[in-house]
Amino acid sequence: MDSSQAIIKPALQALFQTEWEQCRVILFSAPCGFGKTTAATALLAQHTVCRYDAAEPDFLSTPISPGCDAVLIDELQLVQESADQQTICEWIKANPCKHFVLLSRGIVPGWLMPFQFTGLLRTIDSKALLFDRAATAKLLEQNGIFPAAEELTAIQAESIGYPLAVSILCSCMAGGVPFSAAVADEVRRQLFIHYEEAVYRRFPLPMRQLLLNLAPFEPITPDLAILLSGDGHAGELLGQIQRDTTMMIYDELDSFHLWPAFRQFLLWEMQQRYTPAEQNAIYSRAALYYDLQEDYGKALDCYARSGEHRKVTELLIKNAEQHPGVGHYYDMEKYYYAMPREEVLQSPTLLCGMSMLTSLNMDYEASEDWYAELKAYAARLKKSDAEYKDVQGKLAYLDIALPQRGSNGLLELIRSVFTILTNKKIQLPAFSVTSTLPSVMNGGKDFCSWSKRDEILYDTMRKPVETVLGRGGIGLADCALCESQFEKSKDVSTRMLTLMSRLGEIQRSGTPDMEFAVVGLLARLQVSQGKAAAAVELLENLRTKFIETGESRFLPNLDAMLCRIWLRTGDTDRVARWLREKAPSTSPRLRALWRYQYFTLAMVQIANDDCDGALLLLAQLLPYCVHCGRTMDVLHIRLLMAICYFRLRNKVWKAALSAALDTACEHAFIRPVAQYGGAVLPLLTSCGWQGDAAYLEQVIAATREQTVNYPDFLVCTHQMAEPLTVTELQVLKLLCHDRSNGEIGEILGIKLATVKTHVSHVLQKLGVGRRNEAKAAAEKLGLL
Amino acid sequence: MRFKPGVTLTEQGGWKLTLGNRAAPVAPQDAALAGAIAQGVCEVDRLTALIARTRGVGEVDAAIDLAQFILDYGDFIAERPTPQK
Repeated sequence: MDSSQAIIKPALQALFQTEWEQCRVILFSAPCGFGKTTAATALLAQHTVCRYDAAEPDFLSTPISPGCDAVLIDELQLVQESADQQTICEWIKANPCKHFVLLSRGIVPGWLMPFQFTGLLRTIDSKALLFDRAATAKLLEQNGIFPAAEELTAIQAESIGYPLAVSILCSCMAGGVPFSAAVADEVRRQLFIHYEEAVYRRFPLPMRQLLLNLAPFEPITPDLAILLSGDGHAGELLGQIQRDTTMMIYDELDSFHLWPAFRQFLLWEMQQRYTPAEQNAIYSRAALYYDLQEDYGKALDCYARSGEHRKVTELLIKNAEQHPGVGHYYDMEKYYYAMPREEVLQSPTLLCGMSMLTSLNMDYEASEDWYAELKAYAARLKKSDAEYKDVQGKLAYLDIALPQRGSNGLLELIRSVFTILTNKKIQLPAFSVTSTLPSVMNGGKDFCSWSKRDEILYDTMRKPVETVLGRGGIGLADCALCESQFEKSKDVSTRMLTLMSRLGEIQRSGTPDMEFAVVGLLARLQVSQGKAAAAVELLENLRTKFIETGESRFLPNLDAMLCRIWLRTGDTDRVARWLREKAPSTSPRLRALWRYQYFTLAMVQIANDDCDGALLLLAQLLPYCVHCGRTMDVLHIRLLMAICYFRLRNKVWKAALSAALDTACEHAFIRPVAQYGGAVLPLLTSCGWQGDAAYLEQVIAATREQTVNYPDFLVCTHQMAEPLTVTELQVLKLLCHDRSNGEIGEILGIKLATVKTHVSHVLQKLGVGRRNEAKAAAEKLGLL
Repeated sequence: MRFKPGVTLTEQGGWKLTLGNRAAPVAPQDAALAGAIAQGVCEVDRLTALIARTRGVGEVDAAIDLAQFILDYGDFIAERPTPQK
């Protein structure tokens, strides 16, 4: 490309200028196709440049011309001879008044690192060379292509601003061809052909084979490379690729990934070069690697791709045996469901897994079917059979853990657990009392019915629980009692001190599940006292600890808990980030284990004035919670639904609230209602509930207190003082699609002056001054 | 652990707990325990020991039985007064 027409985005220009002023050696380090040569030539246009190309033989034979102020060396990654490396180093040292611009497909080579360490050398990497939207638009315009705003957005998203891709796109769209999926495919095809010639074929054969073998997998490690290639020197080849190209990006020690566009090319090349059997063999070897690493998710994926169905079954069983209480059911879900029924029936582990998985997916009927099959399997065994103990343990585990069994007969369950654990004839898989939730009372099981006699039951059951559950029981009774009293708005200060005095013991000898429940309760207490900042700090410290100790299974619920606090403190940015990055998916189905996060999602939806969305979510949760005897969850669902109906001016709110108050009053619960503060206060004062008046008075008083603490909690953050009219909304939508006033008038059949008036009103109501600010404001208000 | 004021334990063709117009039959295996509470035995340890002795079970089973009793007849059992926040 003619450098006078080269597209240099302002950010790159500024960066180059800064580096020019602050150092003498600038290394452009980027893969092929980033336009290093074009960019460097354009950036050096005002300088007298001596050019060298390492692709040419004896390229350093010509000395540097005294008259030049810049030396450009292209294809630096080809400089392998130590004599050439030494020459370049000596040139740099001997010419202190000259700048050196080096272009390489690789990273800073070792022989130049001393200059980097002394601050003489800096790097401009591929990110700086990517075209931004304006640069892409400029290149397209130079080629006579003027895409609409949306088309440009699509082009930028597809190309990510990769200069070579944009250049190829220009030729594909020449003559007025609009951008489309077909054009994108053609660009990709031409790109791959270019890579094949300009990059791939320049690699030696062992390197090419290694790259093809590694392409499907991320991250790439030396061990993976050795196992896939069968070559003990594969690690060295990896190092070479990483040094001499920037196609392989360093993640952390001994872990890399391929630059995405190049990876796509390698996958394409793999399809061209390898037969299906050869591809299966690669996946099979990778599966073995992941199996040895105990990364069962990836191992299963690879075995499935290689067609080794028997291995899939074996691995599901192995994973379930190693993680019986957790099982990673959701991760393995598709493999479980793909298993033929006859195969599942032959394995007690798979039967147990299917019963639990279907239950967690809220299919109770199927869960009981699988349970019945496991029971039938057990009935066929004799006590002397080797698997008898194992199968009885699995049945006992399901009896305890299946959500649809609810909390009835809990005492008998505890008794049976005790019998199993003490007679040691049966092995019970590990299980979590809290199910990774920050609660004992509303964790794995709902203990609300015990709350009515919490102190007496505590006196009675504390020792047996700690005896029966061992490690899992440390602090459990104390936490449960404290929680029960907290929900009833009793003074828990003394009990909390007792509980906190046991935290050290829980951390040392108990379980992280209990630690989360205790810390979670303390955080809720602090929040109720208006000390939200202290609660956030407490939870964030625990979060850091869980990350350091690898207890990542608690993080989703912990983050949801933090989000609830941010909703109270009005930290809308953090709430929005949780919604964007961590909110649970609701499709294709709801997951029972994610219900705490679903409740948080419903609260965020209410705060975003999406009461319809919240109602939809809550309506899906309600049958599960009712079926499984989750009293506290049903209470919260009814309260949140009442708030939604109230805001939608649907009279049904009274019935929902009354049902909630009936339940809360029965258990003397005050906090579960009061915590909704200003969102529920107007409902309480106007519901006409016919229950215990003294109780209602207490609830209202507590709710007022919480409203004072957090006046913005669940208040709609996206509200317009004056809503848009129907026409104004139409005008807004067209405006956000970059339509001019004239075009809007034509589409809507109204005069230009009228359009201008509508636009003015729209901008005023959105609280913005310019048309180009309208889209962001409208999105924030959920108008588009 | 005590019964609420006004609770009576009577035996008329079967043991029964009564409070005002509310009455609940007492299962035969719970009669001894109900009797002990009615006579003023209130300490959890003593009641657990009583169950263990009369039913020939261990300490843990006895505690679970006592807990079951509390859940079954909770409406007749007094709450310990605790400070409201």
